[in-house]
Parts: sequence; C-alpha cells; structure tokens
Amino acid sequence: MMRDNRGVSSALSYALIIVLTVSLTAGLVLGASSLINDQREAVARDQIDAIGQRLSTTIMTADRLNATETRPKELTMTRDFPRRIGGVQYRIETAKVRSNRWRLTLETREVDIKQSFTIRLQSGVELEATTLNGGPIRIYYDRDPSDPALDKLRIEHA
Amino acid sequence: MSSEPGKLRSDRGQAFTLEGVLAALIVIAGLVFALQAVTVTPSTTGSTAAPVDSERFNTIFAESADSGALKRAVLAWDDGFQGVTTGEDYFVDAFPNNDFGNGLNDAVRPSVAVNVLVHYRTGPDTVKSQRMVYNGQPGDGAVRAESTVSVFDGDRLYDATGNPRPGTSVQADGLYPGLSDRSTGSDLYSVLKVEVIAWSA
Amino acid sequence: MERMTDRGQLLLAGAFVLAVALVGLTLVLTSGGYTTTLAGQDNAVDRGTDAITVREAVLSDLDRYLRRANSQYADILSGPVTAPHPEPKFTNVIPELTDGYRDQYGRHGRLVEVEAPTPTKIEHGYRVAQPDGESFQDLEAEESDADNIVSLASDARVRNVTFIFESVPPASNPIQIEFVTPSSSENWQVAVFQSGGGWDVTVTSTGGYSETCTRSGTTDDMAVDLSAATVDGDPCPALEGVAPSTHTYDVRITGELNVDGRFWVTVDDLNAGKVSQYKTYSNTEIADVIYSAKVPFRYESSSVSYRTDLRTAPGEIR
Repeated sequence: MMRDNRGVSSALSYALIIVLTVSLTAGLVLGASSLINDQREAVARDQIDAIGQRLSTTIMTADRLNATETRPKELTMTRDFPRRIGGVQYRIETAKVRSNRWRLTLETREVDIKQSFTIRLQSGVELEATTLNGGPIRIYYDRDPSDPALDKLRIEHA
Repeated sequence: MSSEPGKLRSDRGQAFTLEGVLAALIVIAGLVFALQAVTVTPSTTGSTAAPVDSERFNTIFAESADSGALKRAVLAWDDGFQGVTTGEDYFVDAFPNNDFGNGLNDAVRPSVAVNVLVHYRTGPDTVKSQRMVYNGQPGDGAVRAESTVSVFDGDRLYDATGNPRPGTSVQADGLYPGLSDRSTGSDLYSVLKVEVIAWSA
Repeated sequence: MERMTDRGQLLLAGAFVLAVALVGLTLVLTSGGYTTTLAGQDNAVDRGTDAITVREAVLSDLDRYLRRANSQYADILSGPVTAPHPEPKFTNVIPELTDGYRDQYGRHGRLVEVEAPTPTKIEHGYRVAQPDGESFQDLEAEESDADNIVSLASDARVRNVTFIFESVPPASNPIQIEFVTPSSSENWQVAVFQSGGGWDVTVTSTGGYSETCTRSGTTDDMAVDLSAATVDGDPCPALEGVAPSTHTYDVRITGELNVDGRFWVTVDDLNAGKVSQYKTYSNTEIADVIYSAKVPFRYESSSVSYRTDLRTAPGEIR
C-alpha cells in the first residue's frame, strides 16, 4: 500500500536523500572555497594598503623629526604591524628611486598582491635599502660617529 | 511493521519536513557565521570618513605655536574669552576672531562641530578645563588633537582680535578660575594644554 | 522495519557528515580570514606625528622666553650692570617648564623633558640699540672708515634687525643699511628715502637683485624689520632676499644720516676693539644677551623615542 501511494521506491528515496545531502554539502564547500579566496584577497589587499600607508607615514615622520639643525642624538620609532595578513606572510622592501625619493613595496607570495608607495624624504638623510618580513618594525636613526653626511635611517624588526 | 499505515505516513512526512527545515537552517546559519568572520578589517567597518584629518589640526597647532597665534588666543581672557556674545565665558557656535580661530574655521566644513578646551592644573592632583568653544558633547568618530602652550608671568593679555592690552599682565590680572602661578621663583606662570575635538554634527 | 532503521542510521550519518563539514568549513573560513584589526592603532601618538607637534610647541615656548629674558637688558656702556644677565633667568625657567610638560603630557603615556643647557651650549651675543628717538646724525663716523659710515657689527651673525624711522631723507641721498660679507659673497643694501607721496624701501644686492616696497604716507613712523621682512608689520617681499642671519656680515649705516629714529640689532659678536667707540654715540646702548641656546629635548612615547638639541634663536629664519 505504501508503495502504491508513494511514486517512488524506498531505495530510490534513500539514494536521493543521500545524494542530495552529499551534493549540497560538496557544492557548499566548493563554492565557499572560491568565495573564501576572493574574500581573502580583498581583505589582504586592504590590509596591505593600510600597512603600507602607515609605514610610509612613519618613515616620513621620522624624516621630519630629523629635520632639525642639530642631528638628533637618538631617534627610534616602533610600530606594531601584524606578522601575517589573512594568514599569509608578507615582505617589505625599500629601494631608492632617485635623490630624496624612495619606493616602499609590500608583497605577499601566496595571494599574490603587490603594492608600492612613494616616500619623499626632505631632511637629506639616506634611507637604507632593506628587505624584511612583515611584523613589528623599528625605524631608527643611525648616527655615523665621524661624518654627518653618512647618517642613515634604518629599518629593522622590533 | 505497524498497524496504522496512515498514521506512520503522516508522522514520517512531518519528520521529513522538520528535518529538512532544520537542515536548511543549520546550513544557512553556518554560512552566515562563517562569512561574517572573514571580512573584519578596519576599512570595511562601515565607518564614514573622519570629519577632519587630525593631521590638519596638528599643522594648525604647529603654525599657531610658531606665529604666537595660540598664545594670543589663550590669553584673550577677561573673566571670559574676549569677543563672546552669548553671556557665557566661551564661544558657542562661533570661533574666536583671531588667527587661531580663523585657522580652525578654515579647516572644518560647516557640518563639523568643534570643541576647544584648555586644560590646566590647579593643584598637585587636580586638573580643570576651561571651554573656549563649545558645541555640545562630541559624537561618535570624534577626532582629537592637542598641544601645549606656556604662559609666563609677564605675558600681556590680549583682546578679541589678537592685539595686546597694554598695562595688563598674567601675573597681575590672573587667568582662568583656579589657575595660579605654579612657580613663584621663576618667570613661568603655567603650562596649558589646548585640546581640539571635531565631529560630524 | 529494517529499512526504517537503515534509513534512520543513514540520515544520522548524513547529518553527522553535514555537521562536520560545516564545522570544518567554519574553521577554514575563520583561519583563512584571520586578521588583526589595525584600527586601534591609528592616533597621533602611535603614528609619531605627535612628536613633531610637541617639538614645535616646546620650541615656540623656548623662543618666546628667550626673547623675554633678553628684553630686560641693561646697558653695559653706562656703568656696572645691575639688571640680571639673561642666562640665569633662562636656565632657571627650564626645570619649571619640564615640570609643566610632565603634568600635561604624562596623561597619555608620554614623557617630555627639556634640560637646562650647559654654558657651552649657550651662545652669547650683544644687543646694539639706539632706543630713544634721536637723530642718526649723532652717530659719529669711525676713525678708520670712510665718512658717514657707522658700523654696527663686524663679521657677525645678526638677528632682529629693526629700524624705526621718524623721518627719512630725500631720494637724492638716501640712508642706507649695508650688509657686507667679508667672504665676498652677495652684499646687500637697503635704501630708505622719500618718493612721491610715501617712503620707499629699496633693496639691492651685488648679485643683481633689485626690489622696492613703498609705504604711503609721510607722517607716521615707519618700522622696518629686516629679519622678519616686514614694513609696518606688513610683509615686504623685497626684504625677503636679505635674510640677515644666513651669513656673517659687517653691518653699516651709510648715506645721509640726518634722520630721526631708533634701531636695534642682536649680534653674536662685537668687534671688541670698537666697543669703546660706541661710547661716542650719545644714546647707543649695548647689552649682554643670549644669541642662541641649544636646549636638550627628550620625547618618549609608546612608539617614539627621540632625543635632540633644540636650537632656539628667536627671529632667525629656520
């Protein structure tokens, strides 16, 4: 009597239920993983932007603090940046473009994002070209004991 | 199996429906929760742009300190800030008509409200605040900036537009209520802190 | 019955699979989207720009007080000095300033300190002034220089150069303030004379520079501030080229001296051999002042550690 009222056999209904469940779950996982990737990329891009802006502002502030007539005896700026962005490590690189202008580049390997920022220094001091991993950063003023023209601003891990 | 096939069928149907609905709810809840956890970043908190960049205020402070406009604004006092028309001793819905007030006025849009407070010490543990400009309690997302200015015994008091009032001195005529000479043996009268708060009104 | 049990078990198994999958999904998503919010760090103290604001505020306080300490001078030409020398006044106020800064800045976890400068860090100077309204013609020529030359300073850095003219000569023989650099780079000449309905200030240099500012009206006193480049308080672009504190100069007044007025100049060095010659000028005063001071400054906050010497020299263009 059951079989007559239901248009479908029990075995088929079992199979249908299982298949539907599994396919829905699989679809959810697969669809969500591409959604995750998009979200991760967007998040990482925003964060790299924010970190890059802050780091370049910090370097330019260190430069302004240096722009007194007398060389500072001590100048250290410490900033807490996260070690990972979206679970991914990133790298910070500084390179000189031309006189008084440097480029700061942040890039992540996994999510493949790269952003560059321009830093203009006005006090005439050199920024040392470095490459280092993201994380807490310290910028300090390295006084050369003999020649003021050789002073540098250095970046290192805090 | 059972003696009442009809009853079984309806029970089964209800159970299936219930399961289906619950499963759907679980799926949706899980999805919402999971996606919500991903997109937490400072730039996507939905906050609107700051009413004024606090760097702008720092620049105004640096320029006013350099030109003396900050000192002239702080010393424009005669039992109330000079130029106030409301009957209080601070400005409401207006800025002082001196260089410092004009600088602040130029820096903010008309839809931004600004408070200016002067903080000073009256004793070893007490700090008082004198309002220079007051437009209500600051709202959310308020931007603050502050700077100090020192006042010396022989400093003259100023009028509403920044001209000195001859014959006056901080030591003789006094300044804000409760403020006194913090060091009688030297020329320093006090170190004041001026705080500017801006928010979108 | 067996089928019902089987189905129940299968459904349960399916439910478990679904639950595990969802939990796993959530874990993947949350660990993949792990972010530390940076929003809490965005204020001026952490950014470091607060250090710049504080430095400017402290420098402005020091400049103002140095001006004040210098203003109560005593004329060393008229006899023993009775008014206090500005140096002890200046160094005495510094610990008080530090106390005040500590009160105001301590509340945000910042440390701001200024130290009294040691004597080696204070540059002494002199203020040469003719304070009362008096005719410049009373200033007599020096013996070894040509006629009508009055030497205010020799090979010195000069600052706060201000002249107040109560009358000026005609254009045919203007009064000139000359800045001559012994190292023979650009020499400057500021000529003041009548022209048309007003008084002109013309600036020329040996490098070919030539500009003029005109002040209309001939009855009021005209205040020419060569250091701040203003005439009667209004900016005068012509004077901006002079910038007297940028080199060391011999400062002389030449030309028609039959004018009334006052002046003052702060110099870092006087030609010691000629100080006695100033005594011949009836109203000139020379006083000990502080030309500049290097004040050790220290700023500490959660993100910035900064120590430097702040050079205070009011009136000098930075």
